[in-house]
Amino acid sequence: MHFISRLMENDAQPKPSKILPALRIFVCILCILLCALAKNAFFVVAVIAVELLRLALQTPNMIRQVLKPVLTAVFFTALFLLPAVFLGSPRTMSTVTLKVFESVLVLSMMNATMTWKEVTDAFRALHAPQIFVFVLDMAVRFLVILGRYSNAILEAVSLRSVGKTNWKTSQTGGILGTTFLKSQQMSQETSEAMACRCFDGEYKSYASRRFCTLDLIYLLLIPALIALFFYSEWMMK
Amino acid sequence: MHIPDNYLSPQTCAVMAAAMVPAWIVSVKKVKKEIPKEKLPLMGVAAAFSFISMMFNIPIPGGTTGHAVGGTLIALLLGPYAACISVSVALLLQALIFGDGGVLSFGANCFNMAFVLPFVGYAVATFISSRQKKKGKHILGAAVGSYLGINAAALCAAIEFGIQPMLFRDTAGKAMYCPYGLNISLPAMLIGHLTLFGLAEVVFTVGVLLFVQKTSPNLRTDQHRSETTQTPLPLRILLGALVVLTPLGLLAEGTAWGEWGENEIAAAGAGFTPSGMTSGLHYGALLPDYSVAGLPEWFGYMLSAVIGVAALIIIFKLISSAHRSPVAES
Amino acid sequence: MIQLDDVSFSYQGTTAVSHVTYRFEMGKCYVLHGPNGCGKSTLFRILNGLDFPTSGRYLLDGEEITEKKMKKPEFARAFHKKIGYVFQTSEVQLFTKSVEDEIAFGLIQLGLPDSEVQKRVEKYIQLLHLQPIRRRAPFNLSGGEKKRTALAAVLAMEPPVLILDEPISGLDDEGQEWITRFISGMKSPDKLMIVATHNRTFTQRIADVEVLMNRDHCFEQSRPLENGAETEL
Repeated sequence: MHFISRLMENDAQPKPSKILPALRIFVCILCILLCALAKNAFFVVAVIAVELLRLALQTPNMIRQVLKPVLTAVFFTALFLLPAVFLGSPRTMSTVTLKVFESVLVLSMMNATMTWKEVTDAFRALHAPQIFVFVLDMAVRFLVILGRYSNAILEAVSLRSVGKTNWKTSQTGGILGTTFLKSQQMSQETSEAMACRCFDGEYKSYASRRFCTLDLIYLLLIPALIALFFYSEWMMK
Repeated sequence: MHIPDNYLSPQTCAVMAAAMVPAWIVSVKKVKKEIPKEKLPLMGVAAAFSFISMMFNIPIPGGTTGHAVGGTLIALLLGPYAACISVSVALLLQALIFGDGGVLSFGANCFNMAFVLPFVGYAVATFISSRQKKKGKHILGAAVGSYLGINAAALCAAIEFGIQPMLFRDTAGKAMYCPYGLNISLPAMLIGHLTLFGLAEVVFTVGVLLFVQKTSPNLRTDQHRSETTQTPLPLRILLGALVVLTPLGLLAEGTAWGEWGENEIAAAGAGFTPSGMTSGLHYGALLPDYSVAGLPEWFGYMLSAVIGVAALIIIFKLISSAHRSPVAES
Repeated sequence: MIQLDDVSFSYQGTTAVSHVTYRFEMGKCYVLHGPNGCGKSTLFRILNGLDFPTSGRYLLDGEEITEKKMKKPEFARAFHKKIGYVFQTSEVQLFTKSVEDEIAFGLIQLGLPDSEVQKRVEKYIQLLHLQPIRRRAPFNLSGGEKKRTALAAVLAMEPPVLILDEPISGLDDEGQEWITRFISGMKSPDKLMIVATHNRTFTQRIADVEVLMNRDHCFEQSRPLENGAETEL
């Protein structure tokens, strides 16, 4: 329910970004890729520095939202790599942990600063398979609606039960089953509704944004990152 | 003024840390009570300013360097308890990530720079400004307070250093930790801080205070709670400018007195490397000495500044999001 | 113009529609009444091309609509372009991420150029008073807002035939009044409207012809209404 409320929150206050979403996703993926390939700590640290700076400018709640997965990932990575320290190569642990920190931070930031619409639009623009985008689009909506539905059933069951509900023996199976059937029914109905609006299986989209000057400036980041990467690698030699 | 590891015996470190615990507890309680949730991120900004000021190294003749701390500044803007917390967090970050100041000696460093400095500075500053009647009394108070604050801190550090050879000797009679007694540590620390470093602290404190007064007068703690939760733009610009200028701090060559690495100390005049240093704690910080391996020094320094500032702001924003405001909604 | 020739529909032994013969003329608003379980919804599904008669014929503008023909995408698209259907429950028919997207969806599927899409989206947002919620996700809207969004999404495609299944169910007085006025205002000689409802007052306000379906799943009678007054056939 918590997750759903967060999904709903994200949708209720869209913060349209000024840069083309596809471009942002591309740059994020490029950053992660280059960091993974980097042999020098410099590139990774530089990316971390920039992301931390961007993070510092966000609201406290957003910072919390972004850092949760990052700290979890780093904690577990460090834990798993702890043997490396005892086996005499602490460098491995710090390098890998640093890279994990960077990747998850970049992803987490991207996730938090882009609305769902922008993410799916970006995948579309990057020519991800149609079905992938379609499923993504539908998933959020179904999650929310079905979440509400099962919540309603849960409430109804609680209201009808006397005393403390023992969930192990109670209607959980029935609730899940009903929700599942409902989801089937809903998907059938949705596909009919789509057919009624002339949907013929091909998920067409609309060019929702045109390329503008700001995007061009952002585009320069790509060669800049690649240049920085090669520079840092060269410096190692 | 950061005391590295192995300069103070573990016993000294333990005592100093123990002394700080009540200070921290009281400061946290006071901050929870007095500082509204919206102002907590400002403590992050204050910590960031303090952090940055410590990156601008100033040389003095004799080959050592020092820096300002900014503790009194924070005390005057947000209160001495907030200053204690902010500076402590900045010092923690420096110790863990940048290897500036030891891990074991963290308690001692906090005692000097996060406790003595801001409280002495604040007390003196408010005393003076309450006794003066003319305009600009706040500035005068700030100047004198910050000067005396940093010197009080330096005095404490000097004493902590100086008593080591007296108290901790190995079987051969050689000092195990800091090899310089009070007769050396006191003048060494105080000369620098009574002159240039004290001046730097005054300049930094007064400068930023004037800047704040001019651009965002409602930041001070005795004002009503500010409506905005954002750090005012001029402050942001100032912080940004300072970050960019940090490489200037590298121009001062030489290591601060008492901050030598274990390979430097023999050459620095002791003539030997105390046993406590060779066999003591060797903490491997991520970005030791604010540098990144293989990078030009100035770049690593600036990157470190960015990371430090960002991290401090993030930490305090996180604290503010977890904190429930004790002040009732008006 | 819609023609039903002795249409019946049965499923697994149960009859839902029984020998219905009727002709719906353009320019009129037909209100379909009937008790629960009489087969209204099934009939609507047939009219929409979602189900097909087990016997009899369904003709739209003289062309018979069969399952085989509907399997062809061009035929299906041309068909759905002519018939706009607003479901009773808005939940299932709102499936995009914002009200704007919802209205644009059908238009994009029709292959209209972006400029035309934008134009129509704006027009119908204005018409249905959806400006304040245009960027909100449809599944977060209130009942009345959802109904208006669904209506806008269907109307934007400008179909000549409009089928509305219980358009005012679940709405408060204000909402009902709004929809009633809107639908009355939409009547025109080149539009055919078929509305299902239980509400008498609503019927009086909008119907040109009232069609009753009975428990035997057939049409019992149909009477044209003039100016709200009932006249016998």
